[in-house]
Amino acid sequence: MTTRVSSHQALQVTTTTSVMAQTCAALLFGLIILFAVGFAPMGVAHNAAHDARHSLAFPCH
Amino acid sequence: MIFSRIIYSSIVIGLVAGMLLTSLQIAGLKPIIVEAERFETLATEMPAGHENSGHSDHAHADDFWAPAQGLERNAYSFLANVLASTGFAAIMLALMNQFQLPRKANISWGQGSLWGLAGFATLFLAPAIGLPPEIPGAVSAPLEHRQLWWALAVLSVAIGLGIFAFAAVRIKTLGLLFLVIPYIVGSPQVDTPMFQHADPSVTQVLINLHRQFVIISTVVNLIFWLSLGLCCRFVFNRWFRGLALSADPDRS
Repeated sequence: MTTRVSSHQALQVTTTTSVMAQTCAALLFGLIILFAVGFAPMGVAHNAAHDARHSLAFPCH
Repeated sequence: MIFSRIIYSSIVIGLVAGMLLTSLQIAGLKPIIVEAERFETLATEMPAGHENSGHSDHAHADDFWAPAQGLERNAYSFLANVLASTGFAAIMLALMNQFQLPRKANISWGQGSLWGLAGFATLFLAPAIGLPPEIPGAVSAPLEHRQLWWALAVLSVAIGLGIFAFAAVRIKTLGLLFLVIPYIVGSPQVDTPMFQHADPSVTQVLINLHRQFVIISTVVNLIFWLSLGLCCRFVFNRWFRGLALSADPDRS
């Protein structure tokens, strides 16, 4: 019985840790894309995403 | 695997929401941007000495490639909108999985709308209170200062709303502190008026265009964020909630 409970607890801890690591990685993926679209300082990136930056109220020029 | 599911789902949602945003943008916002650019071009063609003293010139971007007017410009706007929507969706789905998955319940229509409204409040309203949406030609503080304050406003309000929604009752007041931090710090401003043109009638036209832009962009962003929240709700209920149930040892 003790073994069964501890294995359940171990599984839950592993699952929680795994979910957090994966959601953090997905969060980072989203932030990198948003930086590229909304903040990248290169002139080419600015000109390509110009109307999107204005429409989404990102600081522009 | 939650990570790959979030990435694939966010790309699909990004395509749908990006298409919606591009349509609204072309119909309501792009005509105002193009009209403001016309006056901006006139201003940069004025002889030296008539130029604005603030940080408003577009010249730094004129040295680089830019999409041609018409279809090409719309195509790049669509691409940028799809990428931005994909980024927003990835962040929202990551947070939904972090905070809603442990509850092992479907997200209701109301909760989905609240997620959308939270996105609107965090990524549009919070920065727009200090730095209203701008049209080309507006005089404003240096770009780096505005970007830094924008990031502070978004991060701080996101934490504040997160505390309100998910933290224990006894620390919910802490959320209020995070909501006001960006406005206590204060957004970067300039002393000169936002629009200053040699011809006062042009200045008035730009002020009117800006007023229209603020109202329409608020409506466009509200529709966009509500759609994004409801799309993420649909995807979460269909492809993610089951992961919590299948990983639950009590069910085995």
